This record gives sequence, structure tokens and C-alpha cells, in this order.
Amino acid sequence: MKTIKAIQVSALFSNDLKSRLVARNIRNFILEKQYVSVTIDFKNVTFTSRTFMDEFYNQVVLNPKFKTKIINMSSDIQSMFDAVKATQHKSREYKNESDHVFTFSSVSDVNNYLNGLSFL
Amino acid sequence: MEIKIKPRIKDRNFISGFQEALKIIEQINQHKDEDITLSFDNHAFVSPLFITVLLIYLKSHNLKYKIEVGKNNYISTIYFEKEGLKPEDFPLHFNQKLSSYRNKTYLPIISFSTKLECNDERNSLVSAIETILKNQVGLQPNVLIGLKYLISESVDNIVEHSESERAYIFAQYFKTKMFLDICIADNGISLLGSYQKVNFENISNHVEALIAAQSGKSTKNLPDAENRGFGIKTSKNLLINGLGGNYLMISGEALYIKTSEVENFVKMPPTISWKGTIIAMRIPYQNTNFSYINYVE
Repeated sequence: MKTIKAIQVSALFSNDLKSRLVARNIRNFILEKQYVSVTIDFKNVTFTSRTFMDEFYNQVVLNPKFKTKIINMSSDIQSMFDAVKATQHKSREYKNESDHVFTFSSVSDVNNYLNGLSFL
Repeated sequence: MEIKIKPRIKDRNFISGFQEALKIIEQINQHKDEDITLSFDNHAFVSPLFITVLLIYLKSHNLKYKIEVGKNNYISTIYFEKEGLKPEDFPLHFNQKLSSYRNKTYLPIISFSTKLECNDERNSLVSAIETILKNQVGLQPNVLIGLKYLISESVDNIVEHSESERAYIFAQYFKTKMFLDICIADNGISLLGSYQKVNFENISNHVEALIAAQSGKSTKNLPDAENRGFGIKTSKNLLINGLGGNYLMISGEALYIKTSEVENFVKMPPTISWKGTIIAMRIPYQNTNFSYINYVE
């Protein structure tokens, strides 16, 4: 059983954390090293996608096999973390979109419909 | 059968490329059993939306086709004939190859692997694409971060859900109008295939699948949780409310349109469908007050 001082995410992985796979790689790294307590350092991390953060939260922060302490998140990345944390169990209401579905039988009908819409 | 391609794409109207592609697809459908030659006019202007919709359609239906570009160098330069520029064809100097586009107004169609084991290469590639776009367009850091978000969420969805072997990205910017068009696409199982794979209830056609995806219904929520499905919603919120852009998604025979004024779904005519999913975004890139984090749900 080992405790590591800190995992430098930007040095070990990337400054830009873009995918769920990267979060799984962080989890796997910790499991392979058999750490039971880790500090995860986000210094120099400039970007995370929401999908990365969701996977990071569920696979790393909530992982029952080790404890984590997170340091040096920038304000934007902390906001992303907070947004993900806040929506884990949010029960969502889904709109009925049937009024917004248009069915066409020909290309010219589709194009006529699209001509009536405003785009940039 | 030769199909002459001289689209009338208005660069000030985002949807115009899609409409012109539909007209070509209609002609292709009339000659599906023949060898088709797509013959581009020497001066044909094409947009990412036009090209991506056409390319994914051709690949979806395993059509035999030949491309003739005549003197239209642009079609060759964007690698349409080769179905995209592939990093593995330039194993030692792909970034150098990409950087040759730094003074252009576009990036070619880039076709890259979606295999899980290629994650590092894919992330490097996407970062290189973002850097080229940043330098081409002169993106400010606040908009660049938004662009990173839009690209990374789209690519990650392809990797996680599409079961496509490859993904495609194609971009072009319009200097005088100050917007950037990006298409990101795959040739996978489509949204419907992804929902059906996990026996998702009440989703039995492409329109229902597209509605579910836009609402944030995820095939991979954790048990007793609704932690997923926020990526697309946040992308749309950021792009439309944050940057004032347009968003379009095509999957199977369904089309989704989202602008500041409309949010509609279209079921295409029975003869027209794509195997896979296409996302197209028009991104205005001049907004000094924009901060992506304000739009994260």
C-alpha cells in the first residue's frame, strides 16, 4: 500500500484533457501503482472537456479503491468539476418534441422548408 | 453516369451547402446501380457541410464512384478524392504536413482512427488541428477554449458511441464574415444503432434517436444516475447562446437544426439516409466577452 505525494496530470498526460479515455488512464495509473491515497495536481492543466471531467469524477474521485485530494485546479476547471458534480443525480425532464418534427417526401420539399429558415 | 457538380453555395447561408448536397444525392440515387463519375466544375465553391454530407453519403451506400476535378485544385487539396488526409500516410511528419495549411483558409478533410488504443495520437492530432485553426483564424484564447470544447465533445462521442473505424474533420473559415465552419463526422452505427444496442426504451427510429440525443438521454448513464448526456447540450448552449452560431446534426434519415430562432427535427425523404452521424457548426469567432464556462450545464 503506497501513498504518492502528487500525480502531475499535465506532465504525465496532457495540459488539455479531452476524453473519457484520459480519465480512465489516470485511474489505471493509480491502480497499477497500487496507491491508496493520492494527490492529483492540476497545475498547468489549461482545459478539460465535460466528458473528461465526468469520467474523472466517477472513475477517480469516487473510486472506492483509493482516496484522492485534488489541488491546483484553475477557476474554470474547478467550475467544470463543480458542474459535473452537481449534475450526477439530477433527474431531468425531457421535452416532448413532436411539434418540432417535420416530415418530407422529396428533396425539393426539404429545401423549400430550409429556405424559410434563417441561418448565419 | 457523369454527374456535373457546380453547387451554388452561398457562404452567408450555413444551410446552403446541405441543400446543394441533397440535390447531388438525388441525382446519385437515380443512378445508384451504375458507375458514377462526380465531375467538379473548375470553379465550384464547396463548403465543409456540402463535402462532408456528400462524402458520408457515398461511403454509407458503398457506391462505386470516381471523382474528376479538372482544374479545380481545391477539391484535390482538401483530399476529397482520397476520402481525407490520413495521419498514417505521413507517419513521421504529419504535423509538418498539417502546418503547410497554416496560411490557407481551410484545413483539408482529415480522416483519423477512432480505435481506443490510438487515443494519444488522436489527442495530439486534435491539438494540432486546433493550433492550426488558431493561427489561421487568429482566434482569441477565450474563443479557442470554446472551440476546443466543441471539437473534443464531438470527437469523444464518436469514439465512445459510433463504432466507426474512422472519424472525419473538415474546417474552413470566412475571413470577411468572421466565422468558421467545422464538420465532424463518422461512418458508424448512427445514434439509433447506439440506442438500440442497449435496448433503450421508446426509441425505434432515427428521428426519435436524434431527439433523445439532443435531450441528453445517454446510453451509458451509471446505474441510478443521469450523469451523462450533458456534452451535446453544453455544446449547443455554448455555440448558439455564447457565440451566436448555428448547429446541425444528421444521423440516419434524421436532421436536427438549432439556431437562435429555431430548434427543429426533419425526417428526410425515404430514399435519403446516412450511415453514421454528421455534426456541422458555424462558429462566429469574434466575441471578446465570451467565456465557455458560463455555458456549461
